[in-house]
Amino acid sequence: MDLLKTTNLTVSFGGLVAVNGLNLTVQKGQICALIGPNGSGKTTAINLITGIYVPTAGKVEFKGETISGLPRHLIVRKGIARTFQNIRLIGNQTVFDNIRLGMHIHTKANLLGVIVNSRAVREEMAAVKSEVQEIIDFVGLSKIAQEKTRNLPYGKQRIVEIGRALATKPELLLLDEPAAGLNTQETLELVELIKKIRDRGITILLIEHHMELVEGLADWVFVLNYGQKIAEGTFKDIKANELVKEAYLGKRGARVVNA
Amino acid sequence: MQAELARVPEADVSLRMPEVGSKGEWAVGLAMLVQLSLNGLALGLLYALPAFGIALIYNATGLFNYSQGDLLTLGGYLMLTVFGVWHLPYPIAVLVVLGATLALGYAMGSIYFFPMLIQKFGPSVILIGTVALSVAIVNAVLLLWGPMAKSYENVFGNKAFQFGDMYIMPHVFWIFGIVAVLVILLQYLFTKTITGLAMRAVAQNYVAAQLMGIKVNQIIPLTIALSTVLAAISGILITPIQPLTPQLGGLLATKAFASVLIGGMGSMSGALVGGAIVGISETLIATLVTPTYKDVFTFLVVVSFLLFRPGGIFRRIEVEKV
Amino acid sequence: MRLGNFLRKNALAVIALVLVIFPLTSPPDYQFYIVERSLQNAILAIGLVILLGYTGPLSLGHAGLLATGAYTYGILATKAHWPLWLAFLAAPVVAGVIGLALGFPSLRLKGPFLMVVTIAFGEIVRIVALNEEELTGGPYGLQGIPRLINNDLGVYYLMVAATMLVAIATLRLHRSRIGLALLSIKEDPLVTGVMGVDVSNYKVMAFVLSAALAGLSGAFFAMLTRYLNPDSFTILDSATYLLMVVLGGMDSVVGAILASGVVTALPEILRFMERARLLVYAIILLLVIWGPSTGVYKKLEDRFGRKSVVAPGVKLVDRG
Repeated sequence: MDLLKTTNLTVSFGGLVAVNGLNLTVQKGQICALIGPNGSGKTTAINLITGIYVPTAGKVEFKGETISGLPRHLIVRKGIARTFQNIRLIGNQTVFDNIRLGMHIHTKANLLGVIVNSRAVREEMAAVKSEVQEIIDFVGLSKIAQEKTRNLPYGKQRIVEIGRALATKPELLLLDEPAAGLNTQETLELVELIKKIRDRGITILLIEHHMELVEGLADWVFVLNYGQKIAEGTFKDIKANELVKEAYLGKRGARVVNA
Repeated sequence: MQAELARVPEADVSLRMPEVGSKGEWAVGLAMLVQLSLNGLALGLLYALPAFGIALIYNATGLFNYSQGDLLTLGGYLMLTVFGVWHLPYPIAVLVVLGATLALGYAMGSIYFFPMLIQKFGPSVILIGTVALSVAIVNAVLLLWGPMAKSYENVFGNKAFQFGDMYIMPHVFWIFGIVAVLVILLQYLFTKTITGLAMRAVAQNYVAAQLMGIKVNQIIPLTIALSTVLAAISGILITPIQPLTPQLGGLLATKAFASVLIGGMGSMSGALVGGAIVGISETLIATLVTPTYKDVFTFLVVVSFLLFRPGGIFRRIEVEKV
Repeated sequence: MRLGNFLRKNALAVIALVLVIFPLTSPPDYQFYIVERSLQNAILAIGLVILLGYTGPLSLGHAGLLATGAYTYGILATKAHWPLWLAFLAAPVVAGVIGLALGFPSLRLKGPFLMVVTIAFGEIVRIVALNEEELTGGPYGLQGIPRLINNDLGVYYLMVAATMLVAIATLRLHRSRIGLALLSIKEDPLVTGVMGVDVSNYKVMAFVLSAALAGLSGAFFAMLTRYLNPDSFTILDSATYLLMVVLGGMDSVVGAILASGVVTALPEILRFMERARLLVYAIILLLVIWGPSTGVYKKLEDRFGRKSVVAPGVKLVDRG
């Protein structure tokens, strides 16, 4: 089943076409990777899917329903969650509360209920507490649950972001360079975590520069260059693709590698 | 605090709408309109000077200095003492006042703004401080010069020039000329001198400027000193148009903010055009529509500009980056 | 530090107890008046905690909202002869509706630009109050405003109850999903939106809540002074309210209550300075900000044993 489908997705910023006629199809249950040189439009594509930018042309469909044009807070309700390349946690809040923020769309307490502290609100708070705790255990952050995230090392912050995205209970998880800045040990742990998430039935689309990581994880790879898709397929196909080599190494570089 | 603001004396020019059909009265009406517009333009240029100061500080620090208008008042009152009471020759009196306000501005910059900025206090906190500063200046003026409206001799002369049916006071032309000279001087400062170039660099990118070896700890106070001097010049020139009151600054600050928001934060010309628009429309509205709510009108114009054209007339807004 | 810990955990209860007992010590009139004004200011300051402290937008127009509440109560009570309790309820409602209108600019404007809009609003209210003499009495003021309960102690205890209820409700808000959403908006509205929070709605809601509290505070103001004059609602007053929030530690309800006590008492203490009073007052405010303004209450909290990994002053850093 096509979980996510973009058709002719295009956006331009004052004459610069950042993403140009992009067609992506992500199958349910897969781990897909979005690769390409710097500035090839990968993050912009994710920003278009999550409603941070509005496409100039084309559309995004999720589970057969058009979601492009929806405000970002409604897109996450459809079941798409994401992390950010340059980690964006709420630094003054604890790990627990950052993940609790992800639960926002699954809670209902309104102003009146909160002020009178109604029974429904109290029950909801208790339920949220145990669900957040469960996610914290799942991603392995139990020891630092009450730390403010601004004080955490980089690697832990990345994990908190993933936990926060998981708390929205997504069907599709978009990870924007999750391994950037991680050391080898942390990268290995990340790979395990991503597999664990996939095993929960969550589809994953990730942007990544570590080719070993892409090779080990991705069922399907899309390659972008200058905002356009230049290839897609399994990692093996992609590795052999001339256009991809050119995109990464330039025409001469590609010849040298092939020689 | 500023109770008198709404009852600031109005321009004593009144305009009766001429009756349709009589050619002569139409001409009188047109002359009156031009006369009002010129007066409004002179007033607007005096808004433009502190407005440009506001833009300078905003670009360099990301802050609004609420006390900008009161520095203008202070400049006016200093002139009142140095020229009106001590009777120093006018040019020397101007130099004394400009020197004093330059020193005051530099001190404010190096004692308040710069330390607050590098300690990374939130802009909201620094802003509240400038409101306190504004109140302090108003009350200092009240203590030193008293609450009554004051004025001093109009050096530019009290005899209006007559052009057909129009009567234009000499200070109007003087203001045009002085502001023109100032614009040329500022242009020279920002394009030809090292200090000016450093100011522009800091305004564009504070961190990068610092990395390039620009002494930010001097340039930021200098920027604030320059904008204080601009406000003071406006204060010196305003007395022929409006008498000095301690609360004058609060209202003028709002007009200056209005000018800079309408013209955009980018340039001197933005401030000038914004000031002209505010000054002319305010003068016309006060005379033709209602003097009571002319300031309300200015506020409404500002708010609609902020909402519908947030970058001012000249500027477009940027896309948010992720 | 046991006592400190106890005080910290039960700060609100301790304050309530002190306030309930206070009139029994039969304090002199001016002391009683300062405490009454402190309570009235605290209600507005708590509203600003929700807006500035939790959500982030800076308003220099809250004196205008205070005026809106005060004049609403005053005019409905003296000119329209509404039942007093209805006039009392109308004050926060009218101010809240205006807060709704003020909330929309906050969706498009940031930091100093929004501040200019709020200043403009405050000034417009003041100019209208000054010029619409039929309704407001103009510069001569609106006189003879009746009180909801016609004795000093009644009004006092009504205010103690209102302040405590507002404080408790705000603390509940703080720990709820709504409070978390507001606090997150302050730090990173984009991410908060991506997490499913309707940022615009919540920002407007923060404006409405804080405006309604300013309106409630205004109704009490009218009852305390029984005379309204546009001079009581200037930008200095707006700035003073902001200062109470900053001094209280930005997002602390208890801090805001204590700070409003200190800031309200200050000008009264300075009364002997006569004409120099406001000058000295403004300079003190400036010094408080300029000095290490980390928020007095937060500092006390740190001293009384709470571990703080964040350096002092960091609380005051906000984005945009």
